[in-house]
Amino acid sequence: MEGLAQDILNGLLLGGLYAVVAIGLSTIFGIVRLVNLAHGDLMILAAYLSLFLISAWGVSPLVTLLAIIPIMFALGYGLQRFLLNRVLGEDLEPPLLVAFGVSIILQNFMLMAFTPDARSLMSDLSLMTFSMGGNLSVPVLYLINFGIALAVVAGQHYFLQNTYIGRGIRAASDDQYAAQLMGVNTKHTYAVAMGIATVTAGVAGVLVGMTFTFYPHSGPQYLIIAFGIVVIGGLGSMKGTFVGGLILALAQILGARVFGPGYQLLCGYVVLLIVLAIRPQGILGKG
Amino acid sequence: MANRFTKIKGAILTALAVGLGTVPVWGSEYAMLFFMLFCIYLALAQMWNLLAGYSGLISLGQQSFVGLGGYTVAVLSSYYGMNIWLGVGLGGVTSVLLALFMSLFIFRMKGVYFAIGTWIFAEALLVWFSNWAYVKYGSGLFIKPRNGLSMAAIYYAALVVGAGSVALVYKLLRSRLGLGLMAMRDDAQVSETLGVEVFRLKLYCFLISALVTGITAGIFYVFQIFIQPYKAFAIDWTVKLVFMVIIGGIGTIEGPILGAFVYVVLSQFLAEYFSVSMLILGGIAIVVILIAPKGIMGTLQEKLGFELLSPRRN
Amino acid sequence: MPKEKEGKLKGISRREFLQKSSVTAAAAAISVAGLPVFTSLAWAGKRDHILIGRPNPSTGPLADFGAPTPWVDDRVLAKINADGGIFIEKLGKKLPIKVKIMDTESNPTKAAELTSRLIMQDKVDLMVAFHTPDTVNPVSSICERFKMPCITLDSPLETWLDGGPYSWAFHSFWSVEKDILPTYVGMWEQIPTNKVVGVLMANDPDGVAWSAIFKNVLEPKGYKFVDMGRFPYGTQDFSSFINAWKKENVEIILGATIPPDFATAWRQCRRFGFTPKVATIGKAILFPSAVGALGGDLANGLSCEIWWSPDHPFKSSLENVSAGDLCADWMKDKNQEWTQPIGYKYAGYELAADVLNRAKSLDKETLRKAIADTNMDTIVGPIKFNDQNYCRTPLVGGQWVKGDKYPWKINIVYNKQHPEIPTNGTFTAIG
Repeated sequence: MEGLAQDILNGLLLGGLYAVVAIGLSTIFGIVRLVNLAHGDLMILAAYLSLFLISAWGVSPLVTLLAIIPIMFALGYGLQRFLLNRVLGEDLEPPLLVAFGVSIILQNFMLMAFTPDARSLMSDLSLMTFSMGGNLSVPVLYLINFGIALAVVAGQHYFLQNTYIGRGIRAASDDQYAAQLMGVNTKHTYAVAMGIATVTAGVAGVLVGMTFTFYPHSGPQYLIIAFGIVVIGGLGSMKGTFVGGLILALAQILGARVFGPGYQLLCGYVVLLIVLAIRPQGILGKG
Repeated sequence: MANRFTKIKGAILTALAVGLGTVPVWGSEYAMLFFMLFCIYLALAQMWNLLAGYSGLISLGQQSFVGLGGYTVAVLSSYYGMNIWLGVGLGGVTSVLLALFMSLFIFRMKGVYFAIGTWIFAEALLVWFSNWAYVKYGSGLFIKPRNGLSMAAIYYAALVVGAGSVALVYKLLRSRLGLGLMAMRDDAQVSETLGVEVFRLKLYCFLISALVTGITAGIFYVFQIFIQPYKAFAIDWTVKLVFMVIIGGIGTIEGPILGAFVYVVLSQFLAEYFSVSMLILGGIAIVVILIAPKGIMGTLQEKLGFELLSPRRN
Repeated sequence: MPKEKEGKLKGISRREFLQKSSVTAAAAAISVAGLPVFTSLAWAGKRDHILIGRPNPSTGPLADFGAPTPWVDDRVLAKINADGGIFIEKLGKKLPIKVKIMDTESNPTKAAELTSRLIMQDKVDLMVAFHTPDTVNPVSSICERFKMPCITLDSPLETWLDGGPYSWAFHSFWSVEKDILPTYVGMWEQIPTNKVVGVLMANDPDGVAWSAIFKNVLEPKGYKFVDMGRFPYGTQDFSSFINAWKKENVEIILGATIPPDFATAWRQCRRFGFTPKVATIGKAILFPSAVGALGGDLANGLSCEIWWSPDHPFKSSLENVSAGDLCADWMKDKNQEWTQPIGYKYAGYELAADVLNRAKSLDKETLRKAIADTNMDTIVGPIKFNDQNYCRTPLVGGQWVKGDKYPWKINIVYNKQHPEIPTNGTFTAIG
């Protein structure tokens, strides 16, 4: 079946993009035990920032990443340090609800600042295609997304394994008090972790903005994708996040092929619900 | 002293009851619209509070029942010409059935997974309905009652549901079910060994909230005339309920009353600037969570030193 | 022990009840303070102007439709109010018209809410609305429920009729079956194709109606439809559509979507190396801005319907301007290319003015009758409502090509149904 090869290829490449979308949520969930409900909205905020920089400086979207990365880091750090740290405790409701509140504030702020019109980060890259023989064509953009996804995931893995701060983050997530005894400033560490997560969200946001159209309310759909990947792939596993991304993207695209394009999201949701019900720690997760 | 207060407060309550009960007499159509919205949001907020404040179930998916209740009325009245109030009632029934089905999945999930599971269910329903030819896909349905319907009739229906939800929660908490809930909140493990069936209690509350939410939504859509999956099953509903209950006071009966009132005032006042109202609401909610996590009513109750049924213990 | 607990329960419940009453008392106080707002409105009605309600999609995916507001509205109102306004018999004097424009954000649910507010809180005298079923349908239904006379334009007839039957709402526009279909097919048959049509339609009222009608009428005539189903607004990935089209050798794309979704789909077609001979899309590519936003030369050769243009041979009933003059003024004032809704917004007000002038009253039933009796020439053509409260307006076919003064312009390439509207180009294949 011809189309099948193209669909699978699309699914794999899209999966890479989805992995970047999810990695930030996975990091924060794994380390700080917080489901950042504003994750999707932070992504979209980055996309709008990029839009703004593009019209101000006239550069291509990928170049704006140079500015967006530090901005998002600062934003994430501040959010964790000054707001979310204050509600972390035993109850799971307050941080969830504060994140919810931040999400709503971000969405409505973007709605007011940028209007509900559809936007896209256009560049010459977005229309280029690359023919691979037979009937297979690969949009250049998808390849770029996949490449950046690999870089981000590998980069973060290296950071957490091999740097002092990274080890501090892992220590603080394993045992907060032991880490503090060892001289790790947990408040600062959590904030750094959130900063990193927000940076990856920012990168994901720019990639998404280049690949698809976005609106102020586009955040939650990416939050669900991210959460789905975290669940399917398992918490705290980089490999799991990547695998989860591939699985979810393939489920969507193959689902669209079998049931019709309107159902593409539904297939993802059903897979997610089943995994949640049967094996909540995920396929590659640590029980 | 309690007696003296009781008399005064009783008088105020009666005045209020008479006032609310006769809005169609003294008020404009807009007044009826305002109080109707208040009663509807009150009922929805009471149910969310029942789950989150008393049963320990944070539901981010009440909109599943809102949408299903609304669509039930729409389909029954438009396609089959059924009496509109009968349709509303059946909206409650379909919601309970949905809740039973949902529970098979989501009651296996704990904590934040439960919350997100309820949300995903609602999103799945959204996609399903927007692709379903029977309900005209995403273009939505119109609700056309067989006979004409006055604003007063809709208002009274809303009043019944609003006041009823308060009474229902009140009675529920005083019953054996309520005792079980309190015990469960205090310590799930201990109460389980004492024979309180945690699972069944949570399920009952979940089903009850689905029933009331479905009926309330039916009334809302009878007023709205038009229902569409994108708004009916949207997370927006949960957003409003969460804010109402947090600001008003989670885990108290009065909380949702105050919260619903604040919300309706704010949203009507800023109706032309919807985003601004949501932004303000979000900001207030965050401030409340940081400073007074029990909400306005909860903090008031705490400061005034009563030892209450309030299950929140921080 | 349980008994003691129950006793404590009862006692505390009473106190809680007291708490409840003090809260509700506070709430009561606030509402009493606000009472005048609620009741005084019941006695409002003596105004010194006529108020028209205007739900309009100023933002959101349909913003391109709503964009000529308020330029058109202000211009027409200035004309109408120039000599004092409309004469109202009961009051024995002329009243100016004021319009309350509210943004529906392209959302039908919001449109429904706004309409209820305009009727109940602002107590408008007349409702006028335009621009796709997502605006027109909810407005018409709510006006019907609350018995408010309503004039609507600019939304396909079939989808409007779906929400009927109407006595209070009146509509003017073209029909999918009788106007769009012959026009589209007329264009297609001007070049050789293999009659294989790929369907790109959203799951909104337009998509559902158009796909059904086209398939019913054209399949018996030898057209083959490759239909993967309706998709929701905001769909990001059209690869399964494009794959199917490539596989079946589709040469004609037939669409009805909102502008952003078509942009996503068409760009993906290019990304996946798919270029059909014909792409005729309703609703999404009516505007130079939407077409320009596609990027590159993606707009070249796209075809669609034209319901109004500077070349339409109609004149205004309120001032001595033709369609061409109105467009020229727009381009001079705004320094932007003309768009189709300009004419229809203008016509809506022509109708309102004519109705009010004939009715000479603000009584709803009188206004309703006056609308039903309408028989006039407007800047979009002649309007006369039939017994089902609608009127068909003329339609021709168009194609986008590179423009001289502006990046893209639309040529009228097919006018067999309405030869009084001249063509200024010929239909060609894409690429």
